[in-house]
Amino acid sequence: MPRLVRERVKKMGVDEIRRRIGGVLKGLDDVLLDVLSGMMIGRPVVLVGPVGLGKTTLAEAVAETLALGDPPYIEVACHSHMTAVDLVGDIDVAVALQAGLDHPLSYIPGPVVLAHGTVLIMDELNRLNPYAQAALLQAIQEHYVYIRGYRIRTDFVLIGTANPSEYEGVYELSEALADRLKFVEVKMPDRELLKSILLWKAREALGDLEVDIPSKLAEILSKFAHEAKKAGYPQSVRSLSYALADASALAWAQRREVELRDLRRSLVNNLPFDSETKEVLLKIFDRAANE
Amino acid sequence: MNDLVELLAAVYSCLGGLSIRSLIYSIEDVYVRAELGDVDWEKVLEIIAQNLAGTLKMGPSAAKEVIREAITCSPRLREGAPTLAIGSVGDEKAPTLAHLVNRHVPVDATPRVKLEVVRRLGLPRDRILRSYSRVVGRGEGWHVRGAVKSLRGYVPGTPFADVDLIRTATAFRRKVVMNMPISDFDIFVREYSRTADKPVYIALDVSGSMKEYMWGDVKLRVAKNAVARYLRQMASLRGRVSLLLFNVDADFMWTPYEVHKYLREMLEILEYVYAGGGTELASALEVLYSYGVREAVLITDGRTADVEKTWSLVKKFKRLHAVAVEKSDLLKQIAKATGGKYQELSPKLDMSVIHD
Repeated sequence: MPRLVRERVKKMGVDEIRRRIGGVLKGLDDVLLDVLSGMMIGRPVVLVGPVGLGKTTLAEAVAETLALGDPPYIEVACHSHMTAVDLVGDIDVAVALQAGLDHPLSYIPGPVVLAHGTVLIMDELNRLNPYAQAALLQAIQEHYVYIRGYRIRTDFVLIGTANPSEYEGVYELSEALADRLKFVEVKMPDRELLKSILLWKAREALGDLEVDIPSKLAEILSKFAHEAKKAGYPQSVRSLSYALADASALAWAQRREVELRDLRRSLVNNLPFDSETKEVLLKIFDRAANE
Repeated sequence: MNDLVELLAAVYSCLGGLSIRSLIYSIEDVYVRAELGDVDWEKVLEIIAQNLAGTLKMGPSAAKEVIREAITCSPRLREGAPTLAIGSVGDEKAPTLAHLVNRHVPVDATPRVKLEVVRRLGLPRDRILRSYSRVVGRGEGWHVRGAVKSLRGYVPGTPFADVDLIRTATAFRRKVVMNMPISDFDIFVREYSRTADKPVYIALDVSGSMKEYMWGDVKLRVAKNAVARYLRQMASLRGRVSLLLFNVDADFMWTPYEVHKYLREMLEILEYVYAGGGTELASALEVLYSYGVREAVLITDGRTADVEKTWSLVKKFKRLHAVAVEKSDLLKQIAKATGGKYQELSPKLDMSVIHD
């Protein structure tokens, strides 16, 4: 698989890949190159960072751009109750009894096996429980999995995403698995870049709605995001851009210009926090707006 | 490429216990990444950190800082890094139990206080032998507590057990035969030699070499059992004992205290004593000398890093008894030079011979 990726990258050229990804995501050029180099040496890459910074989107975009197989990627949303069978698939006993084990339908492949020859994107990899981690480990290391005694070959490129361990419901990756992964950190873009990303994403969300989004609001929002991060509440770019789009849509519905109070209101509605945290965040927002 | 490999070798030797797989991948990764785009020094560090983050068990940015420090390998980092502390001779620093405890309480705190600290440290406990609680008496009679120094006449208030029945019976018999009245002087009472009037300082080696096996048991445990037996004997001798632990550094586990008062505490503290680090006998002698001690018992295997320094210190001592964990010429010579006793540790060693 790494050879395939290398050939693909050589054929397309790095600049071409960067250009294509840049159509979906901005400000993650550095991270993109890190991911690519990890894939080219055959090391599974895990993107680490808080929610809403485009980790999954980046993984999908990379897989789509490289298009190693058809479909370009298999995506699994990992959760703590996932079992090894969920990952590698199992034999359908009912079909096997009627049609025999040779029948193509008697085996239900799991994502790890389906991803043979393409990219496997494992969302929230660190939510996997230790049992599922062990199953994944074998697939990564030995490129085959055992299902009821049958050895099934599966070779794939793994891109995972993970939230930092302070998030709830996160398992520690086992030592053996962690040793085989490359961790790439996705950071909040700086203020100027964040502003342009917010504007761009909000416009995209609004679609053909004829609204003019004042860049002043995006600036306030990006300032707020950085202040909030300093105060210990990292903000999601996704939520912020939707808040901006939401405010604009609200203003459009009332046939007036977008104002600061719209943004404030939509922020309250779009932030995924409890009410106390929201109050703190609103104070930060007011401070950012008044400066 | 050599520069990068050497850099990683430096990181590896400083941090220790890194996964080789991850190191190899990070070399590959740096080169591939350099093909894809511009790479500067910070980026190289970042790529190495990304690959080592898993084995270091930290986030990529934290790992980057650790690696940055590991390249120069500051001593702070070296101390914190996990190492295998098995070296028998060397200068490997590892705090003994005494060091850990004395961080929280003064050196001369009572064993009771120290035990309380030890318990809160949450260290594993290693049971020591509970048998051999019977006092090994030397001298005559049953209830000998120490060597019998002399016999004297009865005075009111003398404990009944101290009466020498054979002598007394003989004297009574003689008086009866001679038809003479029996007096207090015919009752013979033993007087014990209180050999334990001076405090006994025991320096116990807790270096990594004490983890080795001997007589089907860990050397340290055998030594601990011997000390425990000796403590029980000293409890009935009403003596005072101090325990000093040393590997590369030395510190008092407890300063001289009456054993009969604190026997239970002392035995329990002994159960928590663990081994680790290099050996430096001179450090123990240095500490003892600075406390004005001129007589001590050394329990060690005699593998010491600095023999000359040890000898120069030995000359300042009046008497050093040696309990050798393994046959050691050095210890034999030390004991001979200072007129002390040389014994070899065995599961049934009786340390109280040093009082003879």
